[in-house]
This record gives sequence, structure tokens and C-alpha cells, in this order.
Amino acid sequence: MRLEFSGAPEIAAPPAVVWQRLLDHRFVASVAPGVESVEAVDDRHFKVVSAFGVGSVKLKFQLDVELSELTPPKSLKLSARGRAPGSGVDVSTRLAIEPVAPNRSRLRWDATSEVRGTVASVGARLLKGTAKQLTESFWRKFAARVAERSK
Amino acid sequence: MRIGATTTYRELLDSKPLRAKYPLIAEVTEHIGDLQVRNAGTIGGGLAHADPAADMPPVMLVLDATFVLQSKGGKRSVPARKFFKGPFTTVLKPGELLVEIRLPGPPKGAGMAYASFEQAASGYALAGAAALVAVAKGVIARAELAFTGVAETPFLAPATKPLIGTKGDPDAIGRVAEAAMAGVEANDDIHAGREYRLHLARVAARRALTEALARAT
Amino acid sequence: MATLFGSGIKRREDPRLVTGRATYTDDVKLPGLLYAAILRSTYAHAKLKQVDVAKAKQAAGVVAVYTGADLRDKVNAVPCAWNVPNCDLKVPPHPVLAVDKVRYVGDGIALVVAESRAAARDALDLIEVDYDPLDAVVDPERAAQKGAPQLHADVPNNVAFTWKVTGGDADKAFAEAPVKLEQRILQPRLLPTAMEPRAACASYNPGTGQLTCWITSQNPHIHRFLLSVMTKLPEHRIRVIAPEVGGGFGSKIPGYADEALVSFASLDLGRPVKWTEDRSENYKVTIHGRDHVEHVELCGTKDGKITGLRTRVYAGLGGYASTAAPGIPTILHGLMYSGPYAIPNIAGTVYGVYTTTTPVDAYRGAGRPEATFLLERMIDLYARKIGMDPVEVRRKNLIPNDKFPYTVATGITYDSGNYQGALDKALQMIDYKKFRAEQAKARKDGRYLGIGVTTYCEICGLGPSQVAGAVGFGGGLYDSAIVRVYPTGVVRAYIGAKPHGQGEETTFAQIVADEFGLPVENVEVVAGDTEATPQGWGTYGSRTTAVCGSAVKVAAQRVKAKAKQIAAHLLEANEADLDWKDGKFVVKGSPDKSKSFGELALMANVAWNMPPGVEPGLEATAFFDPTNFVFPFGTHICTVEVDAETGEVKILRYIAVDDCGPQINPMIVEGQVHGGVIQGLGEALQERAVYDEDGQLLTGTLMDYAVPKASQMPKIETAHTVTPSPVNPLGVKGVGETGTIASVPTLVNAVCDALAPLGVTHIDKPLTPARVWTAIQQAKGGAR
Repeated sequence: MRLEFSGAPEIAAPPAVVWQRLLDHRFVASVAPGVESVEAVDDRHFKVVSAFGVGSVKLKFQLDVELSELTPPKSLKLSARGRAPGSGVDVSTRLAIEPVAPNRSRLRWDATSEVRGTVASVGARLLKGTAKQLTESFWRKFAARVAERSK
Repeated sequence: MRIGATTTYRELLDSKPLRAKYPLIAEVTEHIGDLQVRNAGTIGGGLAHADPAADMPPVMLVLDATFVLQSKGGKRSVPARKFFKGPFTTVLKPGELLVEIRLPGPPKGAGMAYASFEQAASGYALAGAAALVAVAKGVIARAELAFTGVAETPFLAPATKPLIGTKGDPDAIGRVAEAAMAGVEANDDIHAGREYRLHLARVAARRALTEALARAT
Repeated sequence: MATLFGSGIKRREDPRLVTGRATYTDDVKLPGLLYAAILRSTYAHAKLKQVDVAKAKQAAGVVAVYTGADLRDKVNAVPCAWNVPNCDLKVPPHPVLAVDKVRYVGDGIALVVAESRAAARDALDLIEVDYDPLDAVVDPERAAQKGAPQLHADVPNNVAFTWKVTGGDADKAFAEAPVKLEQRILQPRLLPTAMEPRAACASYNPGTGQLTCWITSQNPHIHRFLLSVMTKLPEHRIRVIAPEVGGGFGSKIPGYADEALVSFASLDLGRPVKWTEDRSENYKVTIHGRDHVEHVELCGTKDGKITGLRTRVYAGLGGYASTAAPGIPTILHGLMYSGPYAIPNIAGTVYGVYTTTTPVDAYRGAGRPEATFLLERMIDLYARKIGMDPVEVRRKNLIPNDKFPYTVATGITYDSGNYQGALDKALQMIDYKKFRAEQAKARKDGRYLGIGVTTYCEICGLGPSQVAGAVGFGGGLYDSAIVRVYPTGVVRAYIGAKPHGQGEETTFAQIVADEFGLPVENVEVVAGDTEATPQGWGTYGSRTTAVCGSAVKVAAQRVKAKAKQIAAHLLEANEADLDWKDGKFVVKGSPDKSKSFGELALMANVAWNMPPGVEPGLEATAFFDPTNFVFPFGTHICTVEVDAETGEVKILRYIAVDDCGPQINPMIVEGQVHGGVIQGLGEALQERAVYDEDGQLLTGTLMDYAVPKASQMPKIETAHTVTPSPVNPLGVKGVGETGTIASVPTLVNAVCDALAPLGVTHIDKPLTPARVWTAIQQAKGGAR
């Protein structure tokens, strides 16, 4: 099942700070939903264990996360490929940071997810809403926390 | 009236005081799940689960219930109208339980009704509407309308005011039902597309308001 | 003496089923039992780059892990057993575990065997699969186009076969006909949903070299053969037991990789191994049904005489050719294009197409519901186009009662029929004219009432073995019975078929008890164990009573003939002078000189005083091979009211008049009709398996796949006419699938009739409120 979501929250911080936060895997993990552990393989590759639910189905995903196409401090691509019992997921997010005012930026994000196996097959009614909620709240939270820390 | 969160649907159906004061709760409960689910499932469990297409949440919204949440740190009260945050997502924090549902006394002579369209497999609502209408001196004094199944969370229709002070003729009800869907980002899935869901929601709203008005005394 | 034939006695199998005392495959528990779990592809289509099972092998409780590469030379591919001739059939290999490519979500990748079910399942998560994703294709018509993703190297354009049926000269008929119409018709993919999911438990005894395999099977002898092919173990060293089987609807006919995998594991490990699917696995792995895209044309005269039918059908086969798959949309579909009508010119082309989806095979009705649906739908469209009542169009084209046996344009010969009789009876029950008047009045009030009338016939009672051979079915289609009389005069019948809900344990006991004048309790029916039962071909295609029941009848007659020989000897009379009366052979004119069946049973089994040259024992085996299929028929009528505001369909009345010949047990017949009609209404109203464009199954649970519930279904009014079949000694025809075949077009035609004033002509199944509403909106907008 393919899902596409996007958003463009404004962040009360300059692009350089947003960029720095995006590359800080511990910071990103701290705002991501259900993260249980994160381990850096190198500065572009990470192993993440994350647990979340779709309706009454709770799943633990093992994710390989990669940062690529880095154009500091403007844009990058964040890809995650993961698996859970009987299931698989690929998320590809394009991120672009634009300055909007002094000390303010806009973070445009465009996420395409592909969900496979059991999660897709239980999710006809539930998946889209849940995935949207998870994705949007992640970036909303990211924006808020970046702003908080840069005060 | 206070309902403990672990009250089963069966106990709700069997409660005479509840039927007398909030007949809509019993009416809706009859449509929840099947016999086994009603015997084991609880009102608190269902509300805390916050399925975006469940039948009970819109009833709580029109009745303006308050939920009592408890954790080790203490109790707090949250209006039902601020409880639901997203699909399966509520204001409940980790370590916090929904323990009680508090219902204010309904307005005198209020009529209540629920209309819904079920998805054939799950029985969950493709779209459902709960309505409460109170009449005073021959005109509508209060009207509440809430939906389930339509969007990411159950929600209260913000604009029922045009009905206040009217006799609630079909056109006025139709306009309120129409207005209730303005700007709503409706769900779209294999069971019902966006346009059909919005249409069903309008029909459900009209039917629920009409029936609630008919029941008001 | 009253006969049991025709008596609606209660089903003897029910008490154990409803009290939880039945033994199903998953109930089998053996010392040292191991549990299997199968890692299944999450991709619809991908190359397998690497399958790393190292971690899984180390996990606690895991005994063994096998991959496709491990088994490549040890277990043969899953065979396809219906190799339909003259259609350029291409059956690429279907390995029991994928080796280099996966072709549907659910395709097996690795087998884990562990000390517990939980350990086996947990170990699946430790297997790392490196996929190289490929594009998926789920629509059979699209899959057959150039440029579509290719599943198999040697199957260009994914076309597994191109099968044609012709009779008369359809092109000429269309060129000359004053009225022509065409419609694209979809037969959505359905999930069979037997209450009991599939399971297999294999136990190989290294001491004896024997493999016993319990399988959820509709046809244990076919499974024994297929298991022999896959495991390479000779057939005489395999025993297949199908214990209680909780429904099949066709999904438990095919041979699957799963039973071969547990059998191999048991052979390899020397311990018993069991695998049981849950519903989620069942929906991904157990065969699906239907899945046609049909382009249909019909032509005729302005006064309602149908002169031609043409079809072009794309039948989805899924990722591989399942056991009987090629025969379903061809032999069981295209040959039935004439239905109960005399249609002189027919031309059909069916493309079997591989798609990146779960394999498709026989599902209740199997090909015939699709044929009946397209024909009945076209007739209603035709009637509307020429402005004639749809019942009159049908009446005008039905094969006349005096023309049987009748050979239709597709070349098959219908055994017997009284199509007008069933139609008249059904019309009388509904009071057709009265309903039309009510409908006209309702329309004036803005209410939408509709009526659908289906006259159908279907081919079942499969079938003559010679024909089976000629159409490429890899087996016979006779069936068998041993009737064995015990010394105390009680009887067991061992049958080659395998009833799994249809009630033959009761009806076959009725046949035997009648023959011997016994109380029905004195007869037991045994099925499902290849060690005990003679070679048979199973329960499907509404064949069990017509074919296996006839074998039971013939075997019982043989036993009785022998008993008569013994009676004549003991009574010192000529056989010709004996009468059979009240369970005794009586000497004509000497009512006091008689031998009861019990006395003869005892004498035959102790053999103290047998006729010269007659062997001891009282049993007989019969293999019954019918001379033709049987063709049950009838008329179904449904009336509906459609809420045009919401698209909801309310069934007002449902009438089923069926003719399955003489009924052994009318209560069971009624139960079969009810079940079939409900299953068909599920198809018509709410069931649909949905894949997204990436080949992910979105309706993977009962929360999204809408199997009908009792509260959603109408009361069904049944009636019957009785036209015996000349092709078997019981005169019976099958009735297990008629309901599913007839009800789908009946409901859809009723809804389309209701919405005729709004300009709706056709709605694709299932007629969910959303689809009905959308069709109304499109008709209002003038869009088509």
C-alpha cells in the first residue's frame, strides 16, 4: 500500500540549526514515534528499532535508515527500510529547508511510504489515518523541539 | 450520572436508570460489535481505544460528557470534546487510565438519535451521526450534532446555531447537515470514497437531527 | 416399508460438530510433534537476492530451517493437474519454496521447524531476505498486454493459455443480427473463507518407511498422488487422512506446497511435523476464486430470439497454475455459455493470465457462476434494449422440455430438463404480474423496486472419466464404495469421496439402509482415509451424490444379490422364487419361509453353510463411472428495494426453485440451497478481495473482507421440481453449487431493474451501497 503525505511547518530557528538537528540522529530519534533504540553505523547510516500500532495490531519494526543527497543546509533525503513480522515498510522522505525570516525557516517534507505484507492487509480501514498521524506528528514535534532548543 | 470505565456494554443495556435518562446510549450500544463483544467489551475500553469509526464517541460528544483520567500522580478531568486527538490517539498519557465517564443531565425534554451506515465486514461506521435536540416554547433551544467514521477522529459539528429558535423544518436541518461537512477532510478507503462518505455523513446528520427533533418533547 | 430415500432426517454428523467433539487436522497430536512456520514474501514480485537463515537456525527451540535452495533437488515442484489441451497451456515450475523469485505476497521463502508453534513463528523474524523488487501486475487484462511486468521467463505476456469455444457461426450471426449489445463485466476475486483454515500434519516412520499425512482435504486420494509426486515417495508408502474438514468451497481441492513441506521435514527429521495457517495466512496463501475481466457481446432479433454470444475473457490465475486452475475458466465456464437456452452461435476466447497475486482455483461453482452471470446479465440488457419483458425473453429461448437430451452449440449434451416448469413455479410464487404492478406504482411514488429472474442450468456431477481424460484432467472422475456387512448385520460403507459439510454421511446411510431394509443407525459411512477407502476422486463439482452415491447404490445392490444367493441356498429355493419384503427374502407363496438380512449377514461371515462355489463374506466394491454429467436447473427470483439516496439494497423476497432430481434428504437439499444462495448473495452484494497496484492484499482480514452474516441476509423461500437424470441409478443431480450459480445474477439484475428509471444499466459486483450510489450519480450525470 502506497501512502503519500507532506507538510511544511515553520520553525522558529535559522536553516543552519534545523540542518544540524536533522543530522543529529539522537535528536531525531527522540522525537520519532515509538523509538526503542538507535545505533549509528556511520554518520549516514543508522539502525533503529521502533514499535507502533495500527488499530489493535502492535508491531516492532527494525529499520535501516540512510541519509543521502545532502545539500547543506538546504535539502536531503531520508530513507528507511524496515521489517516487522510478516511485514515490510519503505519510507522515503525529501526534506527542504527554506529561510522565511531572520531566525525562521520552513521545513518542507514529502514522505512516500510503501507498506507490505500483514500490516498492509489489516490496514484497509486503519492504515492511512494512522500513518498520516504518525508522520505528521513526527514532523510537527520535530519542528517544535528544534524551536524550543534554539531559544 | 457517572459510569465506571469497566462497565460492559451488556451492563449498559441492562441499566434501567441509564435507559431512562440517556436512551441513546442504550440504543447505540445495541449496535456495537456482536453479543460476545457486548458481553466482554467495556465503554471505557472502547472510548480509550478511540477507533475513529466507533459508535460511542459521537454520543459522548453530543452529551458533552467529561472523562476522568487517573494516573499514579492523581486525577484530572477532560471534556470528551477535547479527548480525541487522532485515529487511536487520545490525550491519555502513558501510565494514565480512563476511569470514569461523567454525564451532565440532558436538557429538559431533549430528544436524541443516532444514524449510521455500517461497513459490511467490520460493522464500523462508514459514517454516523449523533444528535441531541432540545425544544422550548415550540422552538429549538439547543442542538448538538457529532460525527464518527467520517474523518480521523469523531468530531462535533461547530455550526448548529441556524437551528436555534426555529421549528427545525427539513430545509433548515438539511442546511445544517450540509454545513457540517464544510472543510471536513473525509476518509477515503476501499469501502467508501471521500465523496460518498461525505454524502452519507450528511444523510446521517439529517436523519439523526430529524429523529432527535421528533423525540424531543 | 417406508423408505429413507426422501426423508429429511437430521444430519448424524451434526452432534459431534456442534458439541466440539470432532477431530480436525490441527487436533492431531503425536509424540515428539514439531511445528512448522513458513516465511512468506511481503513483495508481490521480486528477485530473491539472498535468504539468510543463520540467525534463525540458532534460535531457541528451532530444529531446522530450509530455504528454496536447500529443497530444490529434494522436493519436486507443485504440479498442475488439469492440463487442458489445444490451448497452448504453459505451466512454469512452481517450487515448494521460492528459489530465485517471488510471485505473490504469501509466496513461501523458507520453512522453520521448531519444538513449539511460537518458537517456529518467532524464528521467522530472524530470517533476513534481500529482495530486489519488481513491478507488480494484478489485473489479468492488463497483465496480458505487451509491456506488462513478466512473471515467468517462458510465458510471453503472462498468457498461460488461449482457449476457444465455438459453435455455429457467431461472426455471421453478429453480422446479420438486427440487435447487438456489448458489456464489460467484472468477476471480482473472492476469498473462499472455509471456517477451518488449512493444515497439514506429517508423520514419517523411518522404521516402516511409511508417511502418514493428515491434510485438510476434499480429496485425499488426489492429495496422496500429488504428495507422492512432490516428495518422490512411492504412492503405496503414503497414507493421507482427511479427518473432519471444516468446509472447503473448493479451496481444499488443490495440492499445496505446504503439505509437501511438512512431509519433507518429517522425512528429513524423523519426527512428526504440523503446520496450521491462521486466517491472515489463509487469505494470502489458500487459493482465491473468480477474477475475470469479461468482454461480452450478445445479438438477437427484435422480438427476443437470441442468435449469438461472443466473449473475450481474461481469467486471472495468480502467480502459478494451481492444481485445477486451467480447467475452471475453460471447461467449466466456456462450455456453459448456452446456459438453459438454445443459442445457436457461440464463440468464446478465454485467456488464462498469470498475475502477481495468490493463485486462483475452484471456488463454489467454479467457472459456472461466471458463465451464468454473464449470460443472465446480457439477457436483461437485451430485454431492456428491445423493450421486452426479461421473463418473456428467457421463455422464448429456453430449451423446450421435449428436446432432452439436448446438445448445445458448445458441444455438450444436457441430460434432462423441464426449464419451463421451474420458471412457471417460481413466477407463481412471486406473483410476477402483481409485483410489476406494485413496482410501477412505487416508481410513481419515487421508490425503486426491482425484480431479477434467473433461469439457469449448470454442469456438475463430474463426470465421465473418458471425458475427464479428453479435457486434460489428470485423473479419473468415477467414484467408489465398499459396502461391508459385519456378522451382526450392521454395515459400513467406505467411500472414495470426502464429504466436508455436505451431509453424505447421512444421505449415503439412507441409501444403504433402504437397500437392506435396515434402520439407518445400523449403517456407518467412512470417508477420508486412503488406507480404508477405495480409490476415489473426492468431493467437489457437486459430484459426490451423483457419482459416489451411485457407487454406494451399486455396491449395496451387489451385496444384496449375494445375500439372495445365500438365502436361496438356505431356503432350498430358486432365486427367482424369492421376494424381498420388509428386510427379508421370502419364498413366494410361503410367507413363513424366509431369511432376514441379519441371518444372511451372519451366515455369510461365518460361512458354515454357503452355496457351492460362493466365497465367504458379505461385501462388495463398486466403481461407478457415469455416462454423462448431470445438469441441475431452476429459476431464482429476487425482489429488492433500493434506497436511491444512500445506495442501500434491501432484499424483499428471495425465491429459489431448483431441480436436482429426486431428493434423498430434502432437509439437506434445502440446507445446500440456503448456503449456496447466501454465498452467492455475499458475492453479489459485498465480497471482494482487493489488491493495490503493488500487489498488496488490502482485504486481509474479516474486518475488511465482508463474508455475509446471518443478520445481513434474507429469508429464502425454496421449492422444487423433480426431473430425474438418466445417467445414474439414483436419478439424482448435484445441488451443492446451484445456489451460488443462480443467486448472483438474480440479485444484480434485480438492482439494475430497480434503477432502470434512473438510467442505470449495469453495476459491477459487489453491489455495495457505495457502488450503487456511484452508479446512480453517474447515470444522473449522463456519464457512463
